[in-house]
Amino acid sequence: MNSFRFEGAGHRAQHEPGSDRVRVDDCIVTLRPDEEGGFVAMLDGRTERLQAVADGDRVWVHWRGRAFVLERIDPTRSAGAGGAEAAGSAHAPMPGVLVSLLVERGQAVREGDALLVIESMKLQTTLCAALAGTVAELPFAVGQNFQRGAVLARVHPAQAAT
Amino acid sequence: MSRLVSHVDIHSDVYRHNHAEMTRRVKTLRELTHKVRYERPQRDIERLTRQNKLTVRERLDLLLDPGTPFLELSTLAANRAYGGEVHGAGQVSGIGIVQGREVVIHADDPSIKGGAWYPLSIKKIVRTLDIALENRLPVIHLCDSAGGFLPLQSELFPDRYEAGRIFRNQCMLSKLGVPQIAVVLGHCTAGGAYVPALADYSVIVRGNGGVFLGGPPLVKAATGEIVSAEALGGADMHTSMSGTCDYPADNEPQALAIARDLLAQTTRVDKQRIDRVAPEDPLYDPAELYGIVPADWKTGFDMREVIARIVDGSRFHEYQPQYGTTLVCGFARIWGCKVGILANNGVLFNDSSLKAAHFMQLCDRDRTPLVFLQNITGYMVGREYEERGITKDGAKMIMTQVGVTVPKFTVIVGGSFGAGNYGMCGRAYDGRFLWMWPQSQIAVMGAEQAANTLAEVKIRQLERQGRELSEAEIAAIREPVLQRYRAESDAYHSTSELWDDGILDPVDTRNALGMAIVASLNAPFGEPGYGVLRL
Repeated sequence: MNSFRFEGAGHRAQHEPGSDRVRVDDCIVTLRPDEEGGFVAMLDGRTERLQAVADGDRVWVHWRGRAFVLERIDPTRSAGAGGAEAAGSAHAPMPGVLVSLLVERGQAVREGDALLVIESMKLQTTLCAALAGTVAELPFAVGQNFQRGAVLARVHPAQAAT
Repeated sequence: MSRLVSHVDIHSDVYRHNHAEMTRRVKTLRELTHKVRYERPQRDIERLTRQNKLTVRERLDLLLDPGTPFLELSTLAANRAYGGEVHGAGQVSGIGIVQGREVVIHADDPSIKGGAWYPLSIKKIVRTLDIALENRLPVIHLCDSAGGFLPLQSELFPDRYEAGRIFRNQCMLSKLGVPQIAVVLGHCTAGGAYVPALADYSVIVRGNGGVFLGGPPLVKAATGEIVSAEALGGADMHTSMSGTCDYPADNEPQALAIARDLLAQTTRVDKQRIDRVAPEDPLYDPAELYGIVPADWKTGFDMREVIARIVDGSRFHEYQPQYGTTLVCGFARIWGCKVGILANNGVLFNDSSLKAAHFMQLCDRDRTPLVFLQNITGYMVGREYEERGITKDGAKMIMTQVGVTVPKFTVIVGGSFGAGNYGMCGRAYDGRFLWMWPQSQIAVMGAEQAANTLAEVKIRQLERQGRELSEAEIAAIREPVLQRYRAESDAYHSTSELWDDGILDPVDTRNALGMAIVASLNAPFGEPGYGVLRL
């Protein structure tokens, strides 16, 4: 674990090779496994015993009767959520035919809600709302053909809560 | 490598519906598999007992290392042929572990039509020995066959990949230094006699084992000589006089024990070195695959959800995540082995085809085996795409895929249609192994497209004659085509015809791939080299 998130804040941790020292942000912690499957940590001359269990990218730490969760930050993962379909329009990824409409004009949708189903090259694809808002336009009717890039639905973003 | 993040909602209605549907399909698969492996008429079992013979499954139990996996292949071969009576095409084949080493098993099943070789039995044996050749795996033959099924001789004897190919493959294995051991547990008559004769070592059971070019009835018909099977080609004659077999055994368990000991005398080859670390289970539960694969193969789904449930730690380094997005490419590990995965997330476009070609070259250079996860309805058609050269870009993908020298593995997860099957390493492309999922579909085009195309042709033909077809007449053309296409497109038809190496329960995919990848490393990779790409 090089970077992790704890209670909302990011931290860096670096194991010093060939030692039992771990640098966490600006502190040095000495960390040794104990005989019971836990760890003995030494910090500022104090000795603490703790238990730690990894579950995927989460590490659960049990210390002094309380549980804490640390979350690994994957440095290769971008912070944004995809980004490609940031605008509220659902474009046709390929030419095809509209199979069904799952929403109506004026309907409120959440991000990720299914809007409509298209079929192209035998494959049915569900297009979803890229953002929360209101369905403003559904230019095509069921059974109608469209070309690649055609706007199949337009969602007006919901106003940010103040 | 990043961990994939699953977006599947296991409490949703869609997930539950898919899960129920796949559970039903897997139940059908298991029931049929059980029937093919174990259910036999009582009289056939009694006959074996009377002959002092074990069933083929009991033979495998004695031959294989206890507690090790047996990757059985083409279990449901011939399930749609010969009235469904020739279970497994009368053959058991697979990769098992003997003395800690991977071996290919080729075993006749004497409880099915006396172990007779039907056309699909021959196809299965040839495929089994092809696997041994391509992966350089030692072979143990368990011989107990009545010989070729004579009423269908024209379909099993003369052609390039028919009966003669079995013996040709045995010779090629020997030439490449791959050990073969034959255990003669019943009769090996005519061509079948060459199986032990072409093996490096052969063991034969007293009383039951017999090896002869012509059995006693044929000898009598040909020359008038009357001779018993034991005198003509029994264990003692062949091991003390002719030298056709090497070791006599008093019974089957002894014969199989000798075969095990013989394998231990052959030299183990070093595996190809690839990037390999300690394996790690997927973070996401492979059992969730049931709810991810749509009940209707036409419904698209994100193949990353499948990858997350097959690869080590659900970790995946995605290559070109924003380019050619209908093909997901990236690196992962299966059983600790680094692999390059190509998985369909839609139709193949120009960019996805180019991405595939580039990615395969990178994997080939770095000696990284390739895994193809197919759910492909084809390359995009239409004027815009032809103008952009979709055909020549698809050709680049196919040319590169054929050129790579690292082992290739294919799982048909959903659809496998038309040229998409070619680009994604379909059967004709010499992947080391190819499996299908129970609901998967394979055909040159979809049933509806085929029916519509044929109806369209017919309508135009009649239009030229000045006739117009009624709705009912069009339906009469479409319906039979639809039904035939549907029946011939499903996974059971494919596996019946040995277009694949078997139908997998999706949860077994990871282990099947893992065992196959590790087994494939027995063969050298060869030097990379490609044909000319149409740039």
